Amino acid sequence: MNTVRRFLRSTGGLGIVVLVLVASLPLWFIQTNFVLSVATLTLIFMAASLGWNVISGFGGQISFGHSIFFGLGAYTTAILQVHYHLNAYLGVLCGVVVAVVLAVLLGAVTLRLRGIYFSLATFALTLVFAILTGHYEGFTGGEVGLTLPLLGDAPGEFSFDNKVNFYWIAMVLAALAFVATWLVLRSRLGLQLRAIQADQEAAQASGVLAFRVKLTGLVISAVPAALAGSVYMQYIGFIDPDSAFGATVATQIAVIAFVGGAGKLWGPVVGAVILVPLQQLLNSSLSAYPAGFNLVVYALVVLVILWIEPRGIMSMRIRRRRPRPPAGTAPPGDPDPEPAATVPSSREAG
Amino acid sequence: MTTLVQTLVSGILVGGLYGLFSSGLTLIFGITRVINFAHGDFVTLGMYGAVLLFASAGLSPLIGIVPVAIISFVLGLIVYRVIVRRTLSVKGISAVDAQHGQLVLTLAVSILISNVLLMIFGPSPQAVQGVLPAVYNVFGVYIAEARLVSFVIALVVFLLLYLALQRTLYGKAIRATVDDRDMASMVGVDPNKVYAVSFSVGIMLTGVAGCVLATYYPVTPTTGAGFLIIAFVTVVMGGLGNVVGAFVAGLLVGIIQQVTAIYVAVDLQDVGLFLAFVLVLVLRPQGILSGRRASA
Repeated sequence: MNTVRRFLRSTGGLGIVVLVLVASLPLWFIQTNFVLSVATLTLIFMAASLGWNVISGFGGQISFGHSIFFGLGAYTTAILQVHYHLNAYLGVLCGVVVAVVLAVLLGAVTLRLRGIYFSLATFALTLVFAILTGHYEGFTGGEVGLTLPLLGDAPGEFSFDNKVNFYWIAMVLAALAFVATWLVLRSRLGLQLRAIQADQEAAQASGVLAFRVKLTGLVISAVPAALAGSVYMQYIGFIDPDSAFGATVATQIAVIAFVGGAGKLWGPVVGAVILVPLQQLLNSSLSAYPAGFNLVVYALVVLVILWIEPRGIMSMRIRRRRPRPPAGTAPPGDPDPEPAATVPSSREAG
Repeated sequence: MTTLVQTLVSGILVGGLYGLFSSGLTLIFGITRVINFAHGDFVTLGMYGAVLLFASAGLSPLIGIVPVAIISFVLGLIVYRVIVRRTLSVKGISAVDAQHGQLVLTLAVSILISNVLLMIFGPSPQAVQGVLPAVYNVFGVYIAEARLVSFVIALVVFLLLYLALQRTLYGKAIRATVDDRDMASMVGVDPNKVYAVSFSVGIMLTGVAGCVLATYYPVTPTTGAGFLIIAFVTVVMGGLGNVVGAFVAGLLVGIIQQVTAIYVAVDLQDVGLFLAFVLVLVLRPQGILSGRRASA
């Protein structure tokens, strides 16, 4: 029993169990195309939010502009495919490159800002992208958006008749994003990011090159978001300025992580599993509920969760009755899979 | 030349209302340190308040100001007491975590308000029609009566706020808290009271601005999103927490918007504004109108 529990409490062990569970879902749980699409979107936004967690969760630089990278990923693949007939996979790759370049350029300006100023600047910038893509319509299709050509079943062009393939791809993407953030968290970079979050001056005084670390964090953080955007584009086949760069996507990526627990490895995973299905299942275009109902419920759920625990679900402590250790002795092992403190634990820092 | 004057006049007239709801946001931030993401939606609520009062009771928005102000104040009090203050009472939470919690909570309030409005009123724009319809021609510059009256009201309400902050004991307590909250509480200012009152007053100003704005601006459930970002821009330009700065910056923001709309392209009016915003943030984060050093 003890071995099993220890296995489940280690990040790798729990990760493998979760991955097997997610991979098996189409076999026993996902019976309809609707549920399949909800599950696919959940994994796509989970990946974007995992990326967000690197700079905003670990590094404490709260971005309300990760939709910039999501949208760049989506638009780059779409433009290359529609206007230049480039192979879809190459387009996805180009999307990542564009997002990384923009992350460096935008980060060079905005990462000099602290706290709420960084959040507001990234929020304003994503809206700038939304307006500009709407304005320069020759390239981007303007407010109408871009639609990918229907290719039927062409695996070489990222197009599948069997939609479950998109589910597998989204799952691999989310798993890779998880492993990447886990590696960052365990690395020197992760330690430095968390030091900056705790106290930038103190971190700098201890020799952390704050600006460079934050920029690296932002670049790493942009990659899963861009990949999520381009997979989203290939899956939905359509993108417009609002669903790429709009305020809804911008805040959605952050809210998922906050609800699960910003800065917690499992935070975006938990947040996405709760929030994305909630929003999709009650969507008026897919169900009998009136327009707006899904987001009312969504907002209420976010309010209740953060009212109970403003640091998110992963910080909620299940109270267990256990005998208090006599004063002076070392406390027993942490019952949480992820400790609440911002200082690195021995387990996570390796 | 006439075009330029016309542009400036339009900018200033709409800027007065920007200034009014932004001074509400800056009041809230300066004192409670809460970044209120639901701010734009309280403008929308004020606008729907005006539309409802006009449609059901035939009440002009100019009289509607009074009930809208009272309701907004109470709503502000509820949001502060029930939602915002909760984050501060959680055991062992750090100040930064509490602020992030407030950020997401107010964001959820914003989504809640705009979608409840969507469920009640539907997505189509609504307006108060036929109030203050006159248009004056002053040496070739057209001035709509509704815009002029709205501006005057915004100015008067703002001056009342300013006087209240300068002259009343409550106002002095609020200003003392902005300057140094620890010292203020040491000399007997009850921070909880000051926080609650200034949050509610901030929301009240926002509701009033919305109510007046409804005389010439049609409202949809998502109108507030645009005002939110305008309020952020204005507040940062004026210096976070600086009430006079926010009002003056409101005028400036109105002008920048109008100039971009007329001389560049109508749909790019906010791009000019946001880029100016990021520039201000990077070059002078303490605000262009503030003499103080940045404290955040």
